[in-house]
Amino acid sequence: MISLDWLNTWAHSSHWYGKIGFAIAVSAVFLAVIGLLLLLVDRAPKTGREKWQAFLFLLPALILTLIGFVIPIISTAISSFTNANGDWAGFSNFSWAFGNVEARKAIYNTLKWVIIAPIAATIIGLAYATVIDGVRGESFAKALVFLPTAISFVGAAIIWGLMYQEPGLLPSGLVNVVLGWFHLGPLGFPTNSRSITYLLIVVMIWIQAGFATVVLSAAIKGVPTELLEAAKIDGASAWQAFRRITIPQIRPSLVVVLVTISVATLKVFDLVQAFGAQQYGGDTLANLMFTTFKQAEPGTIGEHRSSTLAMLIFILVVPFVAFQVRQMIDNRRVR
Amino acid sequence: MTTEPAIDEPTSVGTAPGGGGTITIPRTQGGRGTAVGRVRSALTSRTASLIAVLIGALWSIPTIGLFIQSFRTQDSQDTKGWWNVQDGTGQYTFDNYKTLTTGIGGDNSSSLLPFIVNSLAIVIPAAVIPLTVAALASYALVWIDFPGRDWIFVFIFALQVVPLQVAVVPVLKFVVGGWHLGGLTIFPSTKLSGTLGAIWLAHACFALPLAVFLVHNFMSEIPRDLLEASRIDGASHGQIFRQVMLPLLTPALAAFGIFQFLWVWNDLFVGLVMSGGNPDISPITVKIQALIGSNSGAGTELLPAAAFLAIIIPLVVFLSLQRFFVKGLLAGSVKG
Repeated sequence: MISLDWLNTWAHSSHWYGKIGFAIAVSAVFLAVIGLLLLLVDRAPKTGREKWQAFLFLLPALILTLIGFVIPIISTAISSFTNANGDWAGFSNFSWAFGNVEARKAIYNTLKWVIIAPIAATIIGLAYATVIDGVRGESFAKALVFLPTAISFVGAAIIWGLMYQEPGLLPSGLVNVVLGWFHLGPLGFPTNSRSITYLLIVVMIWIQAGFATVVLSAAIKGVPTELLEAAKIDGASAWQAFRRITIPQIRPSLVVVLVTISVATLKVFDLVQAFGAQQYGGDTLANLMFTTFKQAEPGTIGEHRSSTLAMLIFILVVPFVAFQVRQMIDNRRVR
Repeated sequence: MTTEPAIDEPTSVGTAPGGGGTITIPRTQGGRGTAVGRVRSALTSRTASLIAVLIGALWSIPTIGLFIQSFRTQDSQDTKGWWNVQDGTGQYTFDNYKTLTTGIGGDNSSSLLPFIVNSLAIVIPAAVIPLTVAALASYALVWIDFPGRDWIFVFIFALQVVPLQVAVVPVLKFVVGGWHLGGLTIFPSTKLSGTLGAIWLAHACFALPLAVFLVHNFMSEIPRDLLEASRIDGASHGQIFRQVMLPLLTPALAAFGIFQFLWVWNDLFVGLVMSGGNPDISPITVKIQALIGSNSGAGTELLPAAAFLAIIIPLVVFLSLQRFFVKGLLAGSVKG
């Protein structure tokens, strides 16, 4: 067999040109393999030809689905119901999750996140989309709020760490300065266990509101002009027109925004991890799952507990995605 | 306002994910004079402007603050807030950026450039692979008649239900050890562990549901006649895919490409688990997170500049390609 050592060396290269070159080479090889697959498609057997061709077109997706989803979900599910020896443990890992103080705290905090963040981000997005609709510089105004979408959570963590900075060794952050004007604060971030979750939720809202703004702004522009003008002729105030016409008309988009942000919020990890919030009572399920996994020695119960926490997130996400799937099937039927 | 970065209003968009319906948008260019706008401006323009200015300011001040702070000396950062233009100390400097890139005095041990290279090397295949796979799969799901194709589509879409937290550890185990059932090896170890390959594979898998959904929606809107005409001319599926579909798909592929670029670049979770903290393959987010974690005195003055270096590339990509991004967003919403 031909030695593949050079490939191995290249894959582990630590020079920038080695890494980028390897990335480009792998992409090119991958595309070449797909090109071969397309040639193979055209040589499919004559009997049942369409089925063979469909299978070959779907094959790469099926392989990735198997590796990334089907096998993992089965193995995580099994892991959550077994103990360190691999024996069936029933619901004991789940009763640990609901009995353990830290895990309960994480579940409780996750619920806070998922109730507050999506609703607040949607309301702010809706308000902003409405007030900037049709004004001069609308797209600039939209870009201001949309910009945080491109910023990573760890970047946002530094940005907001600066905003929340505690007075003392370092100068007060802007938030504490403003609170000081009203003789409030300081926030005690991040060590104050009563406020930490809410202060992190603010960062989440800051990141997600742009998404809400862009989607809802597009929806608002789709509201039929005649309806609003008829309302105006009938003497409706701006608020009434907004409540009775705009809101019902953009309902589908509102639901999409709420559901999407909820699903993202249920998996919130980066922000909590970046601030080390778990030390100050700000843990969430996704973060606890990671720390439990990290701290677990191989072959101990910790691995199974982290699987259990992952399954809890899964269970929380199910209703949202089930809802999305139903909507999608309904829409396809309409078409 | 002619120089502002514009978010173009798309003239038509597909179905939002799960979305409750097709959102159609009339061609009101620039949005000025839409009905809501007129009703609003006639009656409540003062409160409205106040809300607009307030939200706009609240959303941009934090980033501006970071930007200014990143150019300040340690003394300056330790003495006064960034909004003090004159604070009586040394003020502004490029040293933070120098330390984090080329290094000062030959010491480039705190350079972030290797991690930015890692992120770039991660993002290229992590976008190319799922895009290609999704385009192939969508072609079969839209244009080839076979039993159960609608169910396969719904199944792939529904995979969004699987949180990364459930999937990422088993994928890591697959990469390191392969698959075993009892003592039986179904698939041997991939030898990818400790290489970028592990991260590419994970990102490629996890991107698939959204990619298939977006490309599928886009492809369904291509007129069927086009395909049937090609079939009558004797073209095979392979040829049609390459010569007819790929050129038409460019906008959808661009939209998803930007999506995936931002997502992978900004990801911390997958990078952290799959790299295992190995600095040779860790993306920039993992490095920044480690920097935040070790904020004990020395080096804290570098954090704002480090954050800015980490977000500058996605920001440039985002601002220059916003038009495609917004289209993708409206057609498919975001994944989490």
